[in-house]
Amino acid sequence: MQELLQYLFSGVTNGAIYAVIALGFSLLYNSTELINFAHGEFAMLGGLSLVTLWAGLGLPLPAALILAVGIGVGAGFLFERLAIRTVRRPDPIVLVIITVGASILLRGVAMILWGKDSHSVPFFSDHAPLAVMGARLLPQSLWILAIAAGLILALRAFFKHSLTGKAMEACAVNPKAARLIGIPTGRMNLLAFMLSTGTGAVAGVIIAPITMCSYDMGTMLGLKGFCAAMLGGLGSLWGALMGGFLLGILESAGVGLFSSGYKDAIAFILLLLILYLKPAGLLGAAKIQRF
Amino acid sequence: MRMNDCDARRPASPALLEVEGVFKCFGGVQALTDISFEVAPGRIHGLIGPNGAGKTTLFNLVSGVFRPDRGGIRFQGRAIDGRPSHERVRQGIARTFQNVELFGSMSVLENVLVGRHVRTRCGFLGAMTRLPWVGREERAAREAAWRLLEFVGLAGQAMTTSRELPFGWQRLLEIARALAAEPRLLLLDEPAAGLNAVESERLGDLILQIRERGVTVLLVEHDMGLTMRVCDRIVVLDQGRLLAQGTPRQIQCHPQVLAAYLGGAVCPG
Repeated sequence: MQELLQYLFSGVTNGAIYAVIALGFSLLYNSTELINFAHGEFAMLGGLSLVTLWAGLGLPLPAALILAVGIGVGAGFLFERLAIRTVRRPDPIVLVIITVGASILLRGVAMILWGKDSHSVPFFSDHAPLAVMGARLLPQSLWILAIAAGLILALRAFFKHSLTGKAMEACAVNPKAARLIGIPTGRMNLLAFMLSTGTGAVAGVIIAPITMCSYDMGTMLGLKGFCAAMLGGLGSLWGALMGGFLLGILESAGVGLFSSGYKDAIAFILLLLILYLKPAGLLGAAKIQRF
Repeated sequence: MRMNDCDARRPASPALLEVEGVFKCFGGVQALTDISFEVAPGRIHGLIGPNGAGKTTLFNLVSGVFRPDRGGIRFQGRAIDGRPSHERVRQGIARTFQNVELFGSMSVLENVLVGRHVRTRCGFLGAMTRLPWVGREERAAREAAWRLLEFVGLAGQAMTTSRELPFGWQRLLEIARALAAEPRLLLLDEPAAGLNAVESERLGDLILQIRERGVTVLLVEHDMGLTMRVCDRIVVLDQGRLLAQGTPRQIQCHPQVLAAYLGGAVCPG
């Protein structure tokens, strides 16, 4: 019982991170129908930026958090302007391959800037772990859940209630009509990129204290987030959440009950299963709700 | 009264839209050949012609989907060639589509709200930080959207998903969405297609009311009854060429038009 609870805690913590990354995939896919295989790299960028800003330069934590996420947003801006916007014939497959190239480039740049070593940052707050029915709950887990929840609520409010959010949705639903009723679709795509890479950086920032940050951490994070997004149904907000938490919990249960060697395999077995059995994702048959 | 440089140099043009010697070809097909006409403000202008005459191509040139191969288009005295669509909407050109192009999964009210986007300043930062003027602007946009839905008679359906509306109402919704951008010129591409007699009668009334709001209308329509009833002036295209222009009465009696288009209908009176 106590062990199960422990697995659940760590599963939910990882799940929140996967959900945030999946959200970034879905968000971008919704607006541009593009899958950004460099998405995990933006999480890496967020995490390593926090290492430098907070642990390295000694900025206060809130400022370091905001700046690190800002770096993710700025990198998304440059990425869209330099690598995506400039493509002469934007076929989806060309763009997807560009994102794969961008992920290699970003990893390389990060290796030069931060080196090959792993870096660590302290927990956001130095409270002792809480004991809940015999299981240990790290305060950082609460931070992760709170920040993920705040991010999700903010994004939902943005898409649900703001005019700009509605305009972005309109671009996704009918790009031709959107352009011709006066929505600058290019700027909306840029905004989608910045939002998406920004959420990626948030994931990197909140995971930084519980894992070691290194230049190659983005690959696995990106793949796990992609699995979560596919699991729930790409393009769906609730799907991203559900996929993230499901993946996190199954993974930690698998590690606990079988062997930690299977940790990464579980995500990919799930991905294969879902692609094989229900390619639209778990929420695919029910009306997939766009943001 | 101050006049700007543009007006000082040239004699002030009374036309809202000027199409000057426009050519457009697709592959080997000459879609438009040397089209010139003017649209005077405050009027309803009809654009008629058989299928393939180039009416929708002309609309697409005016709204910025394509660029003309030769010739130019001026709006309020300013050349608009090469300006992107969203900028033309901001300058005051809105349109509807021959095959209704709504945001199907969004509600009726949201469709109109999005049409208003071009008249708002709020960006993502504004939306996130909830600055006071952003709230004001969004409230104003919502109120304007409601008024427009009342104007076209869809206020009762505001929360319906737009793709679930009957076809005729989807057309009305498109008109409301286009009006939300506060255009000076409204391009209506076959708004009566697929409507029954009662609906197109009501559409005619609506178009007349739109003119009373001070919006100039350029109308492509196959329904001759509707066109003759509401239009102040009519331009006739045939196989990409301008065949005739004039009042509905003149067009109905124009020999070439009768031969090419109306198939020899009898001139009334």
